[in-house]
Amino acid sequence: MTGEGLLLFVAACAGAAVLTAVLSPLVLTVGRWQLLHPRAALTAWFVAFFLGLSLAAAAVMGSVVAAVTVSEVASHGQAVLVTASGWLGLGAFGAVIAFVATSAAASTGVGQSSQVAAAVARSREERDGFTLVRFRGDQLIACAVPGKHPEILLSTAMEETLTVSQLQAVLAHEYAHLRQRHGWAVRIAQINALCLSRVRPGRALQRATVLLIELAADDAAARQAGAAHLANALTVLANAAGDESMHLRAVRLTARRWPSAARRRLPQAIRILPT
Amino acid sequence: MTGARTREWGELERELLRLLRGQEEPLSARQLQELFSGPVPAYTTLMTALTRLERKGQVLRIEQSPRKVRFSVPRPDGKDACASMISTLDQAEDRKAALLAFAGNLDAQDIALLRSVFPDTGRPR
Repeated sequence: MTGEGLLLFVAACAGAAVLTAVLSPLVLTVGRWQLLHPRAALTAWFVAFFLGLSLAAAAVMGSVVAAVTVSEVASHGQAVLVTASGWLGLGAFGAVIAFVATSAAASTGVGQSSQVAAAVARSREERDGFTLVRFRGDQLIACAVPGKHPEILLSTAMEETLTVSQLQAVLAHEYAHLRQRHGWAVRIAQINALCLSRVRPGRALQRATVLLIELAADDAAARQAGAAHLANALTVLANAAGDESMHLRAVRLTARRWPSAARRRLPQAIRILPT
Repeated sequence: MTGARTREWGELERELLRLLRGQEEPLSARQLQELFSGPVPAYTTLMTALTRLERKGQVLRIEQSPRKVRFSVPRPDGKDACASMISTLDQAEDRKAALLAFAGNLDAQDIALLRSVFPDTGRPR
């Protein structure tokens, strides 16, 4: 390929990468479909993200290839352009790698918090794919801790406030976070937001991720444990905590049809035996 | 020649703490050895790791006699423990990254979006 051809390729890839970053937040937030189909929306966001990333990587590779291989150039100006774009591409690539490495290292509070919770655990129960940790506490807490030893933490107050069916739905929600690897989605979105903190697309992916993982986990829980039970749990907790977002999540569940009780299948791992 | 490293740096210490925290009673190094599911570390390796943890104050050494040494983790009691846990959860650098909680992740903008799409019929008190 000629120097000109390569430079065109680089420019096209870089342009497409920027276009993807600018357009996806606009296109993906049109209408209400993303709130009704959060899992599909989440997939679309990450497809767009990785597409933009690949295009940017292709632009960098192209610029380096151009700088290394082009031997015949038409003019002095073109020679400078080819060399400069190669170095700039490599420089940007190095900067991103360094930034991601440092920010990823800085945000590893995961292990510690789970260990602290384990220290005061009332019981630890090894289940398929995670450890269910029940701990004494008067706050309504249920959360999933992703990682090498995934855990779901449940406070005693939560168990006392909800019925078994409702608790089962909450557990199904947390289980969906772990199964659908939402920890990774949040982490990637977070690093992306740190890298692009000055421009809108950087924050857009993170905003969408935080919202959509909750709704996607709600959907999975509604299918497995029953939408009515999940909606009831959300309403009870919304009233107890005065949190409108949980109430709205409950309202959202009523906008769709869900499998009947006979067709639901609750995974063995999240079954709670009535005591 | 040693083979490939079986554990990451610090993983054995973390694993030991995890095992000790899961137990009510103090354990001896032999008992701890039996609890390992993957590659079982040598007795001497375990003792070295436990001594280090003891020096860091993360493990308590209970010595009934020089030949009967058992280990446990210090447990804060009752109320304080819960408070300290919750404050640690709050302090976690970015809570959303570390924990996927059931409640409290959505902000005012998300609420406004949800409200605009799903008209709210009965607000909570």
